[in-house]
Amino acid sequence: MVSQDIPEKVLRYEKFVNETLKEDLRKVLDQRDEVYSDLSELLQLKNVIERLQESQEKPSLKTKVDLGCNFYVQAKVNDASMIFVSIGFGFFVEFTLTEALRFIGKKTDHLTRISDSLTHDASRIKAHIKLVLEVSRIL
Amino acid sequence: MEARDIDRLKAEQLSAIKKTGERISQLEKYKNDYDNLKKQLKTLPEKVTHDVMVPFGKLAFMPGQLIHTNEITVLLGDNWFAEVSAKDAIGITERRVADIDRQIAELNKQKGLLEPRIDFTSQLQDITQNAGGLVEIKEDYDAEKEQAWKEQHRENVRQHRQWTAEGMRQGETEEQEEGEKEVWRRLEELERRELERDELGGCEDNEEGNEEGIRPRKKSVTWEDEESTSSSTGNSSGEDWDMDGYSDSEEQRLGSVIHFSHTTQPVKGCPPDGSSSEDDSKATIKSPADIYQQYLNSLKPKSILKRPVNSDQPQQSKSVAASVTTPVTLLPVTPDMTTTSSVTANVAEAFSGTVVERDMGDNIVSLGHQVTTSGHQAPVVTSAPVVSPPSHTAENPQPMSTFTGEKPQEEPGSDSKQETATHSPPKRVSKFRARRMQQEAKR
Repeated sequence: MVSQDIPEKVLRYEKFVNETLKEDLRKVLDQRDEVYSDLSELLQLKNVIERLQESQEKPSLKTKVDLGCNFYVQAKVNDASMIFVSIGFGFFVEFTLTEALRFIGKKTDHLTRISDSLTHDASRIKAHIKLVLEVSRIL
Repeated sequence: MEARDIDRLKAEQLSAIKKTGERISQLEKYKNDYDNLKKQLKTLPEKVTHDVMVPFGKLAFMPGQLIHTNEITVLLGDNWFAEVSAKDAIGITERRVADIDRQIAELNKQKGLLEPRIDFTSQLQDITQNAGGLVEIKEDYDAEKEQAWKEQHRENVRQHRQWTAEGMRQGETEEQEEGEKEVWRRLEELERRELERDELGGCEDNEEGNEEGIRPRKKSVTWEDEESTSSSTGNSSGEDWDMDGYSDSEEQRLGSVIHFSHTTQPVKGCPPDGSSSEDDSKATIKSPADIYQQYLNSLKPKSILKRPVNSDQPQQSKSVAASVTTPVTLLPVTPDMTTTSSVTANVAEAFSGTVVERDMGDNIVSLGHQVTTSGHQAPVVTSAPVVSPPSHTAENPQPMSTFTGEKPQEEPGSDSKQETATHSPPKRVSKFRARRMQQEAKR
């Protein structure tokens, strides 16, 4: 009786691994990648703002704007002291540069926490997969 | 083929089509982007400045203005940029769009090629599932079963043999006697027949019976018979004998045996057609050098007509007079060769037997560099012009000999040719000896 059940169980476990755990893992990893890309954007923005602060004496700023497909046009910003930053859900808040930096710091902390938790989830799912595989092997 | 395999094939083909479709949609997107960009580029230079929000990444922007609206920096690839006007930028977008269109067309073609395969695969599926009234022929192979069958088969064979052997042994005693009688009867019959045939026609019988034994002997006989008659059948492989003017027709029919006797016979026994006795006694041509030698000699007298008296360049050709006892031949000899040369037995062969006196001017010229005082007439012995047999290859040496004979002294460039012409060791004559001869003759 037991020996007959075993292959069935193994099959079920494997199905579980393949269809549930691996799918979960993929989702979690995708989310984490998204968070990471947000983080890198933020860090880039932080860098830009820091550069702007260094050249604070000039109020105006020249830059190049991408029109799409890597076609750039010169752009001029008259007042570089204020910056609009996305706070999520399509809302933008006008910050001064220092405020923006503070906001970015908080935001990066938050994102790092999220990414950490996602990493944790991912490793837990991996552990589950390992466990199930190991069990099925023993069986 | 299993249904599973076909399913897999189908899945692969579907995924290939899907990939192509994705690529096409991606390219369509690019094309859309370029189209939008083109519109923007058209409107951009209409104003000097545009109020825009200048983005900093995805997350931030600042209010600002676009300036220098007719200066557009375009990424060409690999981080190289070009600054162009808006109009040029539009041109660039158009070219890129054209390229994308081409790629899309190619991908569509590819898709068109992939889609029929799916149909074919489903047909194949029908076949394997016996849907189309077609059956795949299969034979299962089971190693153990096969082995068991082999064992069984071997056993059966052994049994059968045993059985037959037993049967033989049983009937052996009667059968043996019967068989012997049969054999003897047969033998007698054969003997009788043989005798009959002998009586009927001896020679025929002979030929029939001993055909194999006789044939090789017969072959050689026929050859020797026909060799003298030499009925000519045009043969392609007898060139080596044709050189001697001998026509050999038997070569084709007969084997290598014929070849041997032919080579020995014609040379000695039958001088076939054109070659004169002089020629034969003189030299058998063994090498091209021999040919040169003979024809040079034969054409020597002709050279007298045009030879200019010029004692400056006498090296090319010398008239060589030899002693009375030895046959003498006029030879164009290069100095370096004559110094070391000795009279060999072949000199005699090269002599044609005719002596010609030459003009004294010749001798001055030809011996000038060695005999400074030779201004008088000297007897020059030269080989007679030998009529060349037509069977010999006379074409090649002819121009060479006339050339050396007519104006050898004038052209140093002809030296090399002279050398080749006279480059036969057997016919050298010591030039010192010749000089001595000439000086003696003068006194």
